[in-house]
Amino acid sequence: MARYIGQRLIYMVITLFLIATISFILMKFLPGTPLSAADKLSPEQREIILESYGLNDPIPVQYGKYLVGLVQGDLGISFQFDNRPVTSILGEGIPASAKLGIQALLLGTILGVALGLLSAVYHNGFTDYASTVIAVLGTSIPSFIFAGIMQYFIAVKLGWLPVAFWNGFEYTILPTIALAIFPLATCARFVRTEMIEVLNQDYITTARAKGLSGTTVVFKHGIRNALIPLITVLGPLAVSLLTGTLVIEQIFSVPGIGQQFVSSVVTNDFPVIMGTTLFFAVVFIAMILIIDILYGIIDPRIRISGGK
Amino acid sequence: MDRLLEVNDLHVSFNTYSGEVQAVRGVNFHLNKGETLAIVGESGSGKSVTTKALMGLLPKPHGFIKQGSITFDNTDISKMKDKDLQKIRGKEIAMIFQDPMTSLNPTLKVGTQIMEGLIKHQGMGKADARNKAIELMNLVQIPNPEARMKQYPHQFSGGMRQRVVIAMALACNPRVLIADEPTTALDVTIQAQILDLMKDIQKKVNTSIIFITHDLGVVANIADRVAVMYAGKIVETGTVDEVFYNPKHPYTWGLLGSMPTLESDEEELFAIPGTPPDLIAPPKGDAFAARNRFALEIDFVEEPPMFKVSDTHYAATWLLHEDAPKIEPPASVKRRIESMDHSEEATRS
Amino acid sequence: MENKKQFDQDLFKRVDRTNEQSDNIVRESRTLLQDAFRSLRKNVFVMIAAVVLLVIVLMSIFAPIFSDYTTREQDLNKSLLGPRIPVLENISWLGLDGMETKTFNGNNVETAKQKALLQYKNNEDFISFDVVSEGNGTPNSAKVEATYDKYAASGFENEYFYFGTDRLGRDLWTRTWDGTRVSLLIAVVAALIDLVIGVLYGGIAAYYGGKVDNMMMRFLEIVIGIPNLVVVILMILILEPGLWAIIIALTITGWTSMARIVRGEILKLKGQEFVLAARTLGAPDKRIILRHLIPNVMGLIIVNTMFSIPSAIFFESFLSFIGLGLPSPAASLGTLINDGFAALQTTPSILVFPAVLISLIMIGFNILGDGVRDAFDPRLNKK
Repeated sequence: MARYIGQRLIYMVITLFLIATISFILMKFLPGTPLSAADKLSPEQREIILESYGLNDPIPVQYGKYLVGLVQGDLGISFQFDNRPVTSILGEGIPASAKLGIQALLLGTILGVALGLLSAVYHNGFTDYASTVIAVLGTSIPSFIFAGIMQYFIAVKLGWLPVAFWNGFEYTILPTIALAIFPLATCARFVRTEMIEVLNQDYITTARAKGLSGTTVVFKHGIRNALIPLITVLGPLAVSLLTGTLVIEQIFSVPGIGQQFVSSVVTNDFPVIMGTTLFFAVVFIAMILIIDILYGIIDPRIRISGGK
Repeated sequence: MDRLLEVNDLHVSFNTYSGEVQAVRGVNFHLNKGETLAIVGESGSGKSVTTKALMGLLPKPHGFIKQGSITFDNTDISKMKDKDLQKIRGKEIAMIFQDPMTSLNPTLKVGTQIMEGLIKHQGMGKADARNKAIELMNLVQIPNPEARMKQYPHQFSGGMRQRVVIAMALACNPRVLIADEPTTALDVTIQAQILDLMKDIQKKVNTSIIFITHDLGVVANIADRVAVMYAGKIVETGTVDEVFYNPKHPYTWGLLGSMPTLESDEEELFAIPGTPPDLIAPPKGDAFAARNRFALEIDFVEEPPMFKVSDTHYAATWLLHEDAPKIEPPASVKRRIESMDHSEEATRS
Repeated sequence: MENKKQFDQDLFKRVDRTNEQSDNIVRESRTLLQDAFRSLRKNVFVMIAAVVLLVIVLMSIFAPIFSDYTTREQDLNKSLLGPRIPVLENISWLGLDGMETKTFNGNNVETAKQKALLQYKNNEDFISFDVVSEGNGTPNSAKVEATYDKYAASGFENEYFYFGTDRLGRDLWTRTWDGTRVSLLIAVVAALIDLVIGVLYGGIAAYYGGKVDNMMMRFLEIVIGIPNLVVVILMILILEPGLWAIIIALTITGWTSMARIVRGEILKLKGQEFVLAARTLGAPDKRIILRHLIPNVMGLIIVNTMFSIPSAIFFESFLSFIGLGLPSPAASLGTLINDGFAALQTTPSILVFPAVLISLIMIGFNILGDGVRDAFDPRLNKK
């Protein structure tokens, strides 16, 4: 197991290095510099600014400096936000984004798992149809549509909750729900399929043949086996939340990294774009790694054979 | 002899998208104390469904008992509520399943799975249950039971898993043990071990066994009586000797004839042509008629009743009617029977 | 067990079976594809989804052609007109009569009415009032519902903008259907490119196996390791904004799932008995690929494509939403929804139509994909 984790860590570093390199190269191909809008600058002023950002160095030197900076945790300095280091800008956005993301993931998975289990146990009943409809709608309709509907009816029309911004718990409710719908629907769908399959397994018949009660069979023999594979979709789900936050933060004006990212895209703020990209990549890869390890710990079949 | 279990006119159906499948269409049999009854038939003949119905384990809501009764210990259990059935399942009637690779829960320790029934039915505490489980694992000859208790099913071989399944079934000293093709999924060498184990255990705990199989060789080895099933009905029933040495139903002839033996090298196998009928719309008359090379006109008109051959031997074929032409089993089947006779004697002496 | 019934002697004659084919009980054989179609046709939801999608596709092609307006024609006089559809305009609760209804508060009915007049440029002739509450003189206690006939007020009594107009006075009916076509086009092209690349990549890796497979898979793992969101955004940034930029950005990571699925399935099939059997019988590679591998992977490929279309539509609208979509004046569902959000609080109708359409398309493809997946799953067919 330790060897397996080590191997995966090395992989992670290689992937990160590649991502850093690719995003650096792509950035250099980008049309325009942060100064293209500032026409009023004199050539001398322009030169001074380019020099101070290191944009006059030959590209390999810029690349080297960039990599060295990365290893030291330095993501460069923003072009846009008052020359502040990218790490501090990111640091400012992460709390809101993380809070939103974690709340949504918890809400989505807990409700989704419950819904999926219910509809599997009462297969073909009313609960099943209702949750199937919710699952199809939730996985199909984009989160920003839900966000729009809720924002218009609940916040604008009824005034029950704030329309936008981030000033306390009630501000987090609508964005959290909007973001949670997709994981909720995905979990419900996944758990339902898994659970139905598990309930059709021979070992469930064995358990029933032992004379165990229906609830014991479902809880002790069913749920456990149905939930283990759920871990595999949690990774992709968490990643889809990253995508979701970009849009949801826009709609509800949440001061998170998503919103920063979008505004840095509009203003060609390379360091912030690259920093956020790398940050997303680290989160993404770390998530997959953690889930792999978790899977190994929870599923006895994998645990014993030692990973792969 | 005491009749422990009696099945009367049992009909089991499944609702499917294409219609109602009549998997079992009027089955009668009984099981005496301490005996082993083998139910034989090809896949889809309804033998597994019959035993699932006995246990109340038909897949809900598609599968259901349409009519008939299952009398166990003088009570009809076919109409019992699931809650009451739970007290019988595993305690009075236990079951061994076909595929040991899938019939154990992969995420629970083997010990836990054996102990479950003990805790539920015998009201044992964990410690007592553990001791009893170790005892059971010794009984089914699993070496080193203390350590094996803490392992997961995937750490067991197929044969060892089947021993675990048997240990689970035996946990509460059931009066009836239903074994649904318990050796089919195993290697031939392991098959023999498991059969010996079952015979051995039956002697020790004196339980009655219903043994489902499509393998006539296994039947001869283990059973006292045989019931041959075809298309949801029992077509011939009798003691092992009667059915093996004096078969009356052409389907039984077919089964015997299609069984390869060591002596069969020069003979062709007597295969049964065609496939079993569609049980959504069972054919009129004898369901076997279309595949029967000795079919009579009446087979396509009227279903044959059970004709009595001896007090214990019955067969449902018009060939036994007084008006029917006298038809002998095909020569190859006869020779097969004779050779079995010899080999039996050879092994006995 | 004695039989009491008497039967005709003749019935006890043997049936002559010498010329009979004993295997005539066998059911007619159907191919997997036929089976799949059969079960698809039986699925009501799939059929409804297919019809809805077909209607949307046809509308997206023909609606802009037969429309009285073009997608780009601007007229600020026609800015932000409400949706108005002939016949349906007479059913008031549908809100398709082009009227604008709003509630105004004031200390008394008069002040509330004044506010309404102020809002609607004093066009008294075209405003009808409906007093909700008289008020008692305290601030904002009176409520008046004002209905403003904007079409008549601006002199367009005879015009019908089915979905209304946007800020620049462009006809949203035309723009929405045109945008739908663009979105569908992007999604379908992206899905097809994914399909070709994915099937080739996965197929080659699996078929050659060994070192080739190993290297191709390492590369794939790295590509998968990069979050697609990031790649898509970076690609859009360096390419000229437009249709192809979006398609390329979508396909650059989109092919990976298809490649993985195809490889996995072919590897599985390659080791299976029927392929080994074909090989033992001396079937050439070509025959094995054409007759054994492709038909068995086909179902998976179709299903995966079915699901990649809605995900491409989602990504397109997502990109438009964060300002990386098609540049104006071109329209796609994404850009239309983005415009709609900008005016959500004042004119929500702009958002409604593209939002409903994108939802219908996504739901439709997902149901269709589910249906096709179930239809192609031979295990499910047996039930």
